[in-house]
Amino acid sequence: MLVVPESPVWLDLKNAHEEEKKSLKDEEKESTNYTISSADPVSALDSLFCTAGKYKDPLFVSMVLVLMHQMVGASITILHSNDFIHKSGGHDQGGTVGGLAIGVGITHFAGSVFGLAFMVLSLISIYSHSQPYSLTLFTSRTQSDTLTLTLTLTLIISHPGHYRTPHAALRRSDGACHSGYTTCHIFKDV
Amino acid sequence: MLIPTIVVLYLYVGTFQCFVGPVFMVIVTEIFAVEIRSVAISVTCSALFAMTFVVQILYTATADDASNCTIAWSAIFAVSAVLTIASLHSEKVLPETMGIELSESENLWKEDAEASPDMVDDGNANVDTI
Repeated sequence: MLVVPESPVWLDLKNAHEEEKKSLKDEEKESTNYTISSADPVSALDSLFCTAGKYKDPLFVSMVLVLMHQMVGASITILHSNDFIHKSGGHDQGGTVGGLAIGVGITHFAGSVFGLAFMVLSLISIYSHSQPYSLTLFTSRTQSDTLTLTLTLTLIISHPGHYRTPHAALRRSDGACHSGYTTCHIFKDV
Repeated sequence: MLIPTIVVLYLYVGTFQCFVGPVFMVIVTEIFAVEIRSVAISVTCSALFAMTFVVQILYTATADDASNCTIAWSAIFAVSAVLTIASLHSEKVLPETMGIELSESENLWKEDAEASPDMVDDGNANVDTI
């Protein structure tokens, strides 16, 4: 944090206007209509929640996005990937489960790099053509959203079957394991 | 069943992180007016961390109890995925920011605000043009 420069907003709050303009020097070259806020955080917080519903729509959208971002199960999938792999038939011998779970983490990292690269390239393209900053990151949001929905449903629908089918096949009608199998109750094995 | 699960897991995680994951933060940083943007993003990030905590606690506590809980969570995730797509594509809920300057983002909700007789400007914000 020691190498992070002081933000223009912070300098404005401290009435350090010369330093503020100096810190905005690079931004001024790229935009002649750059605005900053000098509202203090308490007033801004009061405005966000109490200004007669002025910001209720963006606040509602952001909270819905927060809710959905977590409830689609991405964090669960990433953090519990070793459980999913184990319950789908992966074996601990030879580090199979751990290795495949690490692969999920690597995929997560690679996806982040890919997404961020798209954003950076988009921003470079926007600024190099003097276009206004916008949300035009992809050709169509429909493409990415449809793909994500399909994969989400595929993953989710497949999980209940993975939990029960392989292990249920190893159990006899009285609940004991067939001969030769020492584990057939998934919820006791993990 | 291991190979299909691995393929779907990798595809899901990679696709989510390529598109919906980072785009969520881009949307949040663009829909708030300049004078309250820093505070609004802080509140949103706090809500995100809190929601992560709640989901992890609930899932860990219930997922291994019985298969019914697994199916229930599957249904929750599926419904949430559908609602996410629906919310992102609703023009009434999420306005298009294409072609709009960063400083003009506060006008995205102006039509709704003008339609509301309760909307007043408190004058707390002091926006300087450099």
